[in-house]
Amino acid sequence: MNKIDEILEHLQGVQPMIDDPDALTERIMYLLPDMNAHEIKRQSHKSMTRWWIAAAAVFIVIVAGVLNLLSSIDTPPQRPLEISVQTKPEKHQAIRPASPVIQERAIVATNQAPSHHKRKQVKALPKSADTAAEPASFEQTVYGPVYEEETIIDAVREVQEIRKLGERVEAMIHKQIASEIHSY
Amino acid sequence: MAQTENECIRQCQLGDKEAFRWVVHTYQRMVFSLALKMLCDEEEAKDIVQDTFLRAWQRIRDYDSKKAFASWLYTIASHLCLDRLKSRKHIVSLPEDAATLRNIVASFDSQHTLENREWVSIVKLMAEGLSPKQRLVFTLCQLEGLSSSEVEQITGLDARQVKSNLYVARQTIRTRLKQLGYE
Repeated sequence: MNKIDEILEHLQGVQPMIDDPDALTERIMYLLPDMNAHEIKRQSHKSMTRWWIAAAAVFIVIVAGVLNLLSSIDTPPQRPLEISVQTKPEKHQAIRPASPVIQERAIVATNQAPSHHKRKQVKALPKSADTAAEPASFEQTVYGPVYEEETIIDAVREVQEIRKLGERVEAMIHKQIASEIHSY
Repeated sequence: MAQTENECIRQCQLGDKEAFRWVVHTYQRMVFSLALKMLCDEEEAKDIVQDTFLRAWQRIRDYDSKKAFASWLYTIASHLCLDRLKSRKHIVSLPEDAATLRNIVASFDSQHTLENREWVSIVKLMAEGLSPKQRLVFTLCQLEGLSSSEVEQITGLDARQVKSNLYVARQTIRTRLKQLGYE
């Protein structure tokens, strides 16, 4: 066996001594924490970790809820659009004032909204005797594009009714004039 | 002995400090031996012993009885030694270390018990030029006399890596001793 192997063999398994082992043991024992205190620290660390996890979960839920809410807001409900329209004064031919009954019917026809259209807020100013004096302005509340079509249809119907009424009034006037001419 | 040790460790896991005192008393020389041979400094070796047992106490409930308790302690001590070596400069031997080795070799026949300062000189000479991993494997295998399987368990290296590190360490030390005149 060569010298190197001899040296290594002599050193194998030999452990150096601690010069004062009892003092080292006491030093170590003195520094040992209580198992309970250490356990409490571990538990508190665990509970802190759990708290953070719970807070993160709540945050994620809130964010998800907000995102969900925002995505549902993308198609918002129809808002009422307010349109103020001013119409030019209608140019009427000079006609004799209609009888009070006819006037009342005309006013009712323009003012009264059909029951199934009550959601429309149609305000019409009462017609004055002098229709040429001031412009007829009215405000009409229209509920967005969905209801616009219905409103137009209703308006057309009303115009048609008014026209019919007007035709009846005209016919009655012609009859009145004819009867007066005959009486002369 | 094994039964006493198992019972003692079980008591330690229940928080019995006096049972742990027995553990410290039984294993502190083993841990000191490893630490001195790794760090080449007596005071640092004692610090490693202290830190090893403090950490062992904190993790005693995690100890798995399937593994040998000594191996478990060696694992903790090895990690602490490697961490300490990372922050240190390279070990450089001095001329007096070579003289110390000559005296020791001359006294092998007289059953001389090595002193700690002699151990430091020997290990400084041998450790020069070794990486921390090579030094750890050499110390555990060659100086502490552990088996390859034990060293694998302690270091986490596989058999091939242990053999490779040990071979390189031995070759480096042989070259160093040849330079000092030993054949």
